[in-house]
Amino acid sequence: MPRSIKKGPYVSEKLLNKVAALNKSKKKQVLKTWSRRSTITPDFVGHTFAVHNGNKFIPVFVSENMVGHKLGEFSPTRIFRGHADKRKG
Amino acid sequence: MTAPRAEDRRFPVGAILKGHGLAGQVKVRTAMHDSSLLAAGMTLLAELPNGERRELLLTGVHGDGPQLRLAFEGISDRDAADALRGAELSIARRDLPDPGGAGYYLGDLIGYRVVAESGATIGPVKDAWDLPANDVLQVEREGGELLIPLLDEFVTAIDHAARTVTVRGLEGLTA
Repeated sequence: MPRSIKKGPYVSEKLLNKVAALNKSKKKQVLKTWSRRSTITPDFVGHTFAVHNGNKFIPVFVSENMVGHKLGEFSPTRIFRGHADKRKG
Repeated sequence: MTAPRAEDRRFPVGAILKGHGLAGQVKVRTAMHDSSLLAAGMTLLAELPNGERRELLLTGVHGDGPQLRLAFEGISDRDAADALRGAELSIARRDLPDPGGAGYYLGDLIGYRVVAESGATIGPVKDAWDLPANDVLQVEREGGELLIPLLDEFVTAIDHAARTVTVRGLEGLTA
């Protein structure tokens, strides 16, 4: 069953306060977090989070289309080792 | 141990799950996001669970997504296909198509030296990961490893001739 709309999305309060402080001071800093269950809100866009995957802190840069997802979705607990993927220079 | 030269490096293609059908095709769980890079005529190296290594000439690529069906020369029945079960497939970097222009393959960055904008060396790239949010470089440095997102905010330049990656703003990044 999905989370009640009345409650709104869950975001760790600590994390939300840290992001709010960064947005207020217009600073960019990597925020280390264990809160994989936190929902990405529009305030998070443009920030980089180091999200724990149980072993390492995976850097996750938040873009607009990630809003509404959980931070943990972008910090896989099993690393996919594919190297044959093209990148633009 | 020295890292292999870029052209000698092998990139993982996937793992053979089982035979498929009666004509010797195998089902492969792919490690490539873009399976269109594979084409008939390419040679793949299969490392079997018993340690045996076999070079296989690709004759057909079917399907897309996380599972592909591949056909190889000399593998023409179900028994021969099932004998490859569990094999890890890889392809030589030199056999992959040219990425074109200033493009590169993510695996090319392995072994590159990571330097700060000040010129200080941080360490070599140990691995490069294609993750859901962004690509990440795993860098070996004194006192542990460092994970650097492959984004313009952190990576200012990649020099393929000098085999260096220039980075900035690493405060807060760890492993």
